[in-house]
Amino acid sequence: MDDAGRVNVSGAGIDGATGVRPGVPRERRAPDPGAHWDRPEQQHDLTPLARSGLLHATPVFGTAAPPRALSGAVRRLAYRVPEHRATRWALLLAGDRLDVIEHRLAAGLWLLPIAAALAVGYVGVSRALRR
Amino acid sequence: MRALVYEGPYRVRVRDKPAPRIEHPDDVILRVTRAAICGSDLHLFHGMVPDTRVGTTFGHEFTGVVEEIGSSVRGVRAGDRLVVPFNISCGTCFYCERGLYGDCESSNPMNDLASGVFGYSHTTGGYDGGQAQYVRVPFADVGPMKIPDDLDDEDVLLLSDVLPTGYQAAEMGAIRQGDVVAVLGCGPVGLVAARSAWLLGASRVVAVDRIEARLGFAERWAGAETIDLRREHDPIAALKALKGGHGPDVVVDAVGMEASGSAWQTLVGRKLKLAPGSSIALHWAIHSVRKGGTVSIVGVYGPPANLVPIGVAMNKGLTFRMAQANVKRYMPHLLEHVRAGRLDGKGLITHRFPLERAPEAYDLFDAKADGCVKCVLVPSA
Ligand SMILES: NC(=O)c1ccc[n+]([C@@H]2O[C@H](COP(=O)([O-])OP(=O)(O)OC[C@H]3O[C@@H](n4cnc5c(N)ncnc54)[C@H](O)[C@@H]3O)[C@@H](O)[C@H]2O)c1
Ligand SMILES: [Zn+2]
Ligand SMILES: [Zn+2]
Repeated sequence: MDDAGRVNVSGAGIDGATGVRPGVPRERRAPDPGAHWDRPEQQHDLTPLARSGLLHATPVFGTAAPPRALSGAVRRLAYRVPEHRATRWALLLAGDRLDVIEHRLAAGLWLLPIAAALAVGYVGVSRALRR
Repeated sequence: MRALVYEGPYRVRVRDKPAPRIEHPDDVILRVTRAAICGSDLHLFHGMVPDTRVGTTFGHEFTGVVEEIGSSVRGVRAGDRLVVPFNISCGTCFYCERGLYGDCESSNPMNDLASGVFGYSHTTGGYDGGQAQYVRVPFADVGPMKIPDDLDDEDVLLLSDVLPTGYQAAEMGAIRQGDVVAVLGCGPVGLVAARSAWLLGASRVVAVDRIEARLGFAERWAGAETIDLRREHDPIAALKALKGGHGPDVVVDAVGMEASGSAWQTLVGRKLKLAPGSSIALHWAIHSVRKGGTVSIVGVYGPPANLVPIGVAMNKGLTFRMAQANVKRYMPHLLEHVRAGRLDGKGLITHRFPLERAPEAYDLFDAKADGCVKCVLVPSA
């Protein structure tokens, strides 16, 4: 590491004046040219699992994976706990692990009929042999 | 459609799933042309982010072509090429009005933490992301930027996150002419922060990491001096030695919750998950910055809490600035830097994979193998 300053980068200092920096001052009030509403319209269809204390769903929300099964129940419970409590986040992490287990079990379900057939076959054969 | 799907920690697959549809009159559906993998995606991939549900699709850095438009959309047409900010913002709420797009309160019903984010768990709104053939983009008249005809998608792809985030990281340092700036982490975000520090008037920029290829990028791409953690066992002392023993004026944390460097924090935070990850980079920032200096945090930390030496910070009189980047606010300004070659986002892309090979891409990017800096998925390939 050499300790001579080396300002040989193209554009060095070009945004040095704070007036040209997009985030300065921090709070700028500028109506957004794209938004053609005072308050956006409400998305319908579905009610998202929202935080406690939120009176209405936000105008838009994601619908990627609605809560389901036991992990869903844990998640529903979690969202009733306020955000400042560690319990909320611990429950959500527990829900995540459960979700993975549920998913693996469900993915393994197609093996059940085969396993059942094998078991029946085994019992049948061993009985026949015993006779 | 084909999409990357999360199946649990360290397990993503590419599968068929229903294509997204218009769910709100201001939505558009985009056919994705490029989707980058981000360091933030690794936090999801490792199961560090609460409420990451099986079956969801990641990806918050993408470009695409408009395929379908909602009934109220005015400024966007089918066939337009767009680059989309990772934050989903409405443009008119209390926060958007102040340019704090990353705090928009119209898109995340789950938490009062941040705006909705594409493909970033139900903690940030439960949206499917862009590592897929198609993606739903809400508030299409507000966030997305049309890609100028003279630029290709990869020229502007990183305007969706990494360029604004790295630039804002440096800007939040309130760099003054002549300042010494240190950047922890030479991932894409840290590299952009280092390059931006020059633009903002730094006289000396020092970047810190342990990965050879990335340190090389810090030198060549960002023009920074480097501290190599494989050789430097006391990074705090090395940083403090800068500026006559005072330490840097500004230290940027571009590492976040999966920092290496402390066996204890790795065990407790990353392995046992008794804390949301490791905060060792933040410790280094606080201890090494000069008294009265500024620590700027863009590395992601999660709820509920990490142990950090706040008493040291208080006694040193530090200023903290931090944020999920307010991407839209930076896009026009940084587009000019891209055009002029001062921020070569495309130059950070080291790897491209067809969408079908996304799991391999995740493994490679996660291992930071093969000189990987930024990895991009191409759905049409
Ligand atoms: N605030 C935002 O808006 C925003 C946006 C994008 C990314 N991020 C976050 O920024 C961080 C970096 O993102 P990225 O895409 O560059 O990730 P990355 O994983 O590619 O890079 C992180 C780098 O940090 C290095 N590192 C690990 N421990 C370190 C330590 N103790 N000191 C110095 N370097 C260390 C790693 O070797 C790696 O090169 C992540 O936490 C990501 O989630 C934040
Ligand atoms: Zn990102
Ligand atoms: Zn808003």
